[in-house]
Amino acid sequence: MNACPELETLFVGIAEGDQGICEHAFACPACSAVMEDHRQLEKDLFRLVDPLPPMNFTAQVMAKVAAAPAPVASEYKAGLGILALSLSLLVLGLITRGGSLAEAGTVLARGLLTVHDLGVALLTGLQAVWGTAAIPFVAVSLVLLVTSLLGLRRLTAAPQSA
Amino acid sequence: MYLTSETPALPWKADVLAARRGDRNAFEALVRSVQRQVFGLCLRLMSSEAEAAEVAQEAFLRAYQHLHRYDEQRPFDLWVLAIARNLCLDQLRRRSKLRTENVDEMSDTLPSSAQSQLEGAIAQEERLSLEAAMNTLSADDREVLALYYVQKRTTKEIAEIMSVAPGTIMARLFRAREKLRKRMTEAENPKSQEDAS
Repeated sequence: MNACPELETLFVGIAEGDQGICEHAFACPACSAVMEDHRQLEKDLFRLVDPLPPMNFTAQVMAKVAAAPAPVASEYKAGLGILALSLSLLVLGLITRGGSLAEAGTVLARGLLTVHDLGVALLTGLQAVWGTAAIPFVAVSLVLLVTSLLGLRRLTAAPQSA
Repeated sequence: MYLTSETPALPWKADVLAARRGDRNAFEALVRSVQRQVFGLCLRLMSSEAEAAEVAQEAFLRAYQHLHRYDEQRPFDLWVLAIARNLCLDQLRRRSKLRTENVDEMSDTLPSSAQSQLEGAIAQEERLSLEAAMNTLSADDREVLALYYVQKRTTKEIAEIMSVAPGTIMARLFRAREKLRKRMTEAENPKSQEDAS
């Protein structure tokens, strides 16, 4: 019979199905005895169970939770930080550059005028179309409206799992 | 066979999402679902019911405060157990003392309700000597034995809780079991040990 291997080698060998080690383990009384000890120990260990926590455990956890400040998501914190930084930089820029406020007002006024001009142009275009081809315009508009409504209805009727 | 299709794949997910929205009842349900395992592991590591309860409560509080960081695809119990384990190890490091409690002290650490449950399953004396022998092992050894044998967790789950490679768990288990066997033998035959030495 071969010499007894280290215990760890013995158990790893058995777990991996090493034929030489298995043969030795079953033939050697010393190794068999150790293996039997481990088997018995495992049986006893498997019988142990976790003890129940104290009766008021959950209540104490919830009391601590209630007393603690409400958790805030890190993304929310980061978003607020970025917003605060951006606003600070904007205010700082406006303060350090004297003409910035005037420039911002000019840009805003120019934008409003552009929007107004666009609205007037659209209205004029619609009046021109209405004056020259009112019936086809209404017909096309109705077809588009009905098609859109039918499409929306189909979408809302689709099953949730799809 | 139809049970599998009706059982939610991630049973904790709904409660986690509700708890994140501030639903305390949902969080309480989560606590109730894992408190026994968390307290059990803390007790094995701390060896004192009061300390174990304190650390386990702290673990749940940390879990609540960091719930937005938790990936709900990962089992909730493993996540809380990992938090509890780290808190226990921190506490043990701070305490930095070797555990040398005797059998009588260990018998006080298990609540009477748990003791009554165990009676009949394993002889009280045998259980106490096993618990006492376990209690003389290092925190690492106690932890791996508790997770594998007491909580019946897989080596993969244990590796996740302990943040180690799954392949190392079986070897850790063997070493812990061998140490335990030696402690048990020493406890059973103190005279022969003395004579041998």
